[in-house]
Parts: sequence; structure tokens; C-alpha cells
Amino acid sequence: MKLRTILTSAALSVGMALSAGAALAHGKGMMTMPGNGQTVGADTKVMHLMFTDPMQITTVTMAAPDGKTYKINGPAANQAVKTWEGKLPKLAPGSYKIDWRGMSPDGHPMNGSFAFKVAN
Amino acid sequence: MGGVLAALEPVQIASILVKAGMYVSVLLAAGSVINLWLLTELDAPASRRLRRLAAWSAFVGIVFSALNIPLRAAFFYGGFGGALDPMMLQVALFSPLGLSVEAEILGLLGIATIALNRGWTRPVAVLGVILVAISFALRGHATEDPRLALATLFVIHILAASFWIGGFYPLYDMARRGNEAAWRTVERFGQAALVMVGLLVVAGVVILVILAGDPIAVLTQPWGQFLMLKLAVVALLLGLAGLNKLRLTPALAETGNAGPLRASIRWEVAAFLVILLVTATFTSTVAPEHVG
Repeated sequence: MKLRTILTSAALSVGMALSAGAALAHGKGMMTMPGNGQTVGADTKVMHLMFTDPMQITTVTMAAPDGKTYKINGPAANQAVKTWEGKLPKLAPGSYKIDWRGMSPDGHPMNGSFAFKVAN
Repeated sequence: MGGVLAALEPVQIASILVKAGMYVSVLLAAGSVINLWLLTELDAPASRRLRRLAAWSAFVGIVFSALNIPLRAAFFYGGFGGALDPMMLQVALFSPLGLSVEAEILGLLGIATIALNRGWTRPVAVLGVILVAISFALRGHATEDPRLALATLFVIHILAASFWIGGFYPLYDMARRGNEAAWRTVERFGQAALVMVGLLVVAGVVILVILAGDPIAVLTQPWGQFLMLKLAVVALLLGLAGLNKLRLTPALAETGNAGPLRASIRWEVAAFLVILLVTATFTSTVAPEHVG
């Protein structure tokens, strides 16, 4: 009983370590445009999410300085793309935050966010 | 760890609870069938109760498993409103998770037939167990390369874990008899466990090496707090198992008094539930950009 329990416990711990180690790898290799913390002009019309592998982007929203949250439209959620281009609404000076959600090629749900500023 | 938990969205909390419920019910359903097959000393009433447990666990597992789809759609959408959004549901259904859930439900239906106790139901239930185990290999990291090796290892891992969880009830049920059949059942489980747990640990270690590369390095990641919490509960399980082996099982054989052993099994079940809840939380929140 004791040996069995020791081995089981070790295996469960290993399984948990495994899940986390591999999970963290999903956050690598992604870029955005505008970049996080970047200041852009008010004439910026589009945003991009760029991945090393094709991703299905399901929802992108933008929190604007006027307190409103805008849905950003781009490629359909059932299309896997390496570069997702979304059309931005007319930008006023201030701070913006983009939140996105999607699914990686191996089916993992993903999300992330980044912020940028629009210059006066 | 506290920060991660505090930042959980309602959809994520619901997903964690459903995942934990799915772990418990699906592994219990599969494990009950495995133990029906392995524990040949079970008497008729115990066997009947274990078949019922397998069937009920399977039905509950179907509900939890199916709930994964609308909850995944809700995450994709950014709120519970997405649970009924056709596009989000389509993405979830046609994802590896969708395929996995479909296989899992089919397997659980096969397991549920065990309640009928006909000649054909046991092989159907065993096929259901295999399908359930395969369903875990259809999603997540099991789908990465080398896929065949990882899928095989995950199937072994799930089957062995199911055996472990599915053993609690028949041991608890039989122990109260306090007779020779009860003692032989405990012994039989222990013998089978040596093989099954060996497979469990070997599969786990090989999967870790394949996916993580450096098992020591991964221990330095932030999720180490969750790991430590889980290990603390595992330590409790170890203590209970030691107590069972050194004191309570010999007492059962000598005096026929199963009370202390059954109490210990109840605590083991509680510890296992905590482990599965921690695991469900851990695998759902380990990184900001990874919530499943």
C-alpha cells in the first residue's frame, strides 16, 4: 500500500508539473501591432496580432479612454490565421487597452492583452 | 497563487468547477469498471453496487463533459453570453476539445450499460473505458509531437489513475464485511496496484521528459505554489496509506473490525477530491494567456 501510494503521488505531481510547464510555452512567440506600451498616431486604422502558428481569434475588444469598450472586427473566429488584422474605430488621444481571446492549433484556449497610447 | 485566484473570471471559475467534476465522475466511472474486472472477490451485493456507481458516475460525467463545450464557447466570447453564441459553439465543437468530449460521452454511454448486467454489457463497458481514456489523448498536450507516443502514454496514465480512484468504493464496501473475502479484496487491489501504479508513474515521467525536457527546470516556474499545495495533500494521502498498511489492514485481518480502515478510506477520498480540484484549478489558470 505504501509503495503504491508513493508511486501514485509522484506520478500525480509529475502530471501537474507537466501541464504547467507545457502550458507556459504557449505564451511565447506572439507579437502585436501597435506594440505593448507603444505610442501611435491618431491616423492608425488597423491593429495586428501575429503568431508563429495559425490561431483562431474569437474575440477582440478595445477599452478606449472615453470609457467605452469596442468590439474589433477581423477574420472570422472559425478561420485560423498567423496574422489577425482588425479594423480600429476612429482613435482619439489617450490610452487604449486591447483584450483578445482565441484558440491555439492544439486546441488550448488563449487570451492576452496589451496597451498603447494615441498621441495628441 | 493568490493573485491568480483573485483574478479569476466567473467563466473561469465555472470551468474549473466543471473540470473538477468531470475529473471525479469520469475517472470514477472508468475506474469502477476496471475494478469490477480486477476484483474477482467482490460478492454479489458489492458487485451490484459498484455497477450502479459506474453507471451513475457515467451519467454525471456525461453532463460535466458536455458542459465543457458551452463553457469553452463562453470563454472564447468573453462572458457567459457566448455559451449560446453559434459561432463560438462551432469553434468549440470543432476543436480538439469537441472531439474529445464526443469520444468521452460515447465511452461513458458504453460504461453506463454495465448497470444492465447482461453478458454483452461488460465488454461494452470495457470498450467504453478505453474510449474514455483515449478521449483524454485527443486534446491538449497529448496532441503534440511525438503524437502516437504521447497519446499512448496519456491513455496509460488515465487508465491507471482511474483504477486508483475507482478502487476506493469497492474496498470501502467490502471492508465492512470483516471476513476473508474482504481481506482478499484488499490484497488483490494491492497486487494490481503495484502494476497499475508502476505504469502510472512511468508514463507520467516519460510524458514530462518529452514535453518539458528538463523536469528540474520546470519546478522553478511560478505555478510551483500550486504544486506545493498539491504535494501537501499528497503527503496527507501518504500518511493515511501508511496507516492503512501498517495498522488498519492487519487489524482487519485479525479482528474483522473494518471501522478504522473505512474511516481512513473516507479521508483518502477527501484528499483525492482536493487534489483533483487543485489540479483542475492549476491546469486552468497557470498562465495569463492559457486558461484551459
